[in-house]
Amino acid sequence: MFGSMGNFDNRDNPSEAFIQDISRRYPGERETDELLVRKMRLRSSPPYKRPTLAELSTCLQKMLEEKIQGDFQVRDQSWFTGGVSKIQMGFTLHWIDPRRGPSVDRLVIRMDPSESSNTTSRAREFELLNLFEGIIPVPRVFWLDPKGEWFPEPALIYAFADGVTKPKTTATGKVSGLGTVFGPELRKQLAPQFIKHLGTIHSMKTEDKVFTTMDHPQIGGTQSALWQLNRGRRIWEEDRGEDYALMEVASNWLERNLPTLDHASIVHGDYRSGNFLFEEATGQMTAWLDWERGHIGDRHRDLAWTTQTTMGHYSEDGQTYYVCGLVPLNEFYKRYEDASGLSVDPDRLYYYKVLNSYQILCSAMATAYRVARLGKSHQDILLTRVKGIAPAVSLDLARLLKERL
Amino acid sequence: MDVTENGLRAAVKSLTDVVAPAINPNDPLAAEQLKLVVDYLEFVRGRLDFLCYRETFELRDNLALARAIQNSGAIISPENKSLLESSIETGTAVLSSHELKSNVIRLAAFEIAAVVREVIRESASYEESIRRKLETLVLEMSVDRITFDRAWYLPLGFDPSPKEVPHFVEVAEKNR
Repeated sequence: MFGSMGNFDNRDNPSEAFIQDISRRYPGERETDELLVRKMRLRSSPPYKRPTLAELSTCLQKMLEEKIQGDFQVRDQSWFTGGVSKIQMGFTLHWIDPRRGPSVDRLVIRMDPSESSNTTSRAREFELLNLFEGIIPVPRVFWLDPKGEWFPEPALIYAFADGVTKPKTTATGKVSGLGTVFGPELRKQLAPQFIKHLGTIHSMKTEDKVFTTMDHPQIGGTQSALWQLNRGRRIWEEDRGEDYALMEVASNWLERNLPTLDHASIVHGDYRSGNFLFEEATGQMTAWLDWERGHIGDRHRDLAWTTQTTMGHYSEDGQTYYVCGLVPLNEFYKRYEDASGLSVDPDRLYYYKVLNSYQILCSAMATAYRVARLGKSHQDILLTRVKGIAPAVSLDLARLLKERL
Repeated sequence: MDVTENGLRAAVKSLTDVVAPAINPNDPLAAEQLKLVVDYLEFVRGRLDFLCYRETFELRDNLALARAIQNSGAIISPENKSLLESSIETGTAVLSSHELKSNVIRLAAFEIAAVVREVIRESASYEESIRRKLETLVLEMSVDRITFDRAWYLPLGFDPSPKEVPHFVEVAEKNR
């Protein structure tokens, strides 16, 4: 009675031909391709099993025995919450740092689950955190296990950063810090840092640097936007369990309207409240986290992401929209241009708003579904819930597309 | 009598009264996930009586879009045209059946959505006015589906304007 066109079960156990076909159809960065191929090849492996603190500590011990010359001790291991896509364990390391001598460091292991809601590279995070150390507040990175040699999956170890993601008294920002209300005092202190750091990230020169994980897209062409579009389309093909006509229209529009890249920036990928820490007493930012979606590309990708309505909130009188709860939207772009020395192009911004909505739907409707269905992560129950974000994002996407179809 | 709803109530009570106090305070992920599990069970309990209703809405919605595309005047390739016709035929037959089964309704809806997908992909090569007409159709007809889903998932707390969302039954009944 029914054909197989609407059946996506083959994604549970994809054939090599299927994997290669998708890889070929949606070219992008080399590392992204490797990561997604690895994801698909491992997909039929058993569901994720949560390691105990003791098991993870054993992995850590073995790694440190190879990385550290001399005695060391690992203490105070504990789980951290807050990582939707990564597993995080805190610990204290007593050791002799060759740079500083005898040291006691509070550190964090950040490790992939069997399959993440966001297939990204710990090596890229490591590289970006290293790049910005001493330039903007980021945790110092210590060690990397890029292929899961010591840990069950790829992992990196970095310094624990003090601070909070939102004021202790607020009831807002429950979901990953989205829509956090900081209040007037903190806004005044945090907003200038928020803009300055974004300007610093985007204006960092990339052409004179060699990266092991990130490819340089061509300036003056559409390759940068195409890579990002293809990442979304590929994930949609690999992970979804249902079709959605709106996504097809969006995909067509995005391909027809690829913008050219005028300046290659480092793009953070998830620049928003919830992803920076600050000291509540002083309003000083202490760390920018979650660089896993970082890449070299178009700054408008970050700008469109940061200014999404789900990231910030309106003032009580409904008149002023605060970008990430910090900067009035009508001031944001001008202040960003002043801080970065880079222009904001409304057309590119519009394009990346569409692309961001498309990519969020790929994650919320496709990846979250597949990962939870196969029991692949430490947060399956949360990923199941994430489907609830899809209707609001769909509404944004449909409205945006209607403007410029 | 089916007792699933009662079972869900009991599961929530057990998790809240017995399991939650026994959770290791040094395992914040366990406490966080327990709350998510309880919330999700409550969500399912609230939707239990409407699961088949939802499947039917989706099938009806997909059928409406497929028929609109069929009547749009677009020159669809013979292969996709034939697939579209047969999926509409099957969906219509399922919908008018006296024995509505959730899995059959879902499969019929998925089949139509898959054929629509192929037509939209194909439309990238259509003449511009026809392509725009098809894409506009999809956007216009997505409104009901989006509104229904906003209402369906409202208890999960992600909607930025919850006050403007009608009850999902209201959405589904509007276009019957």
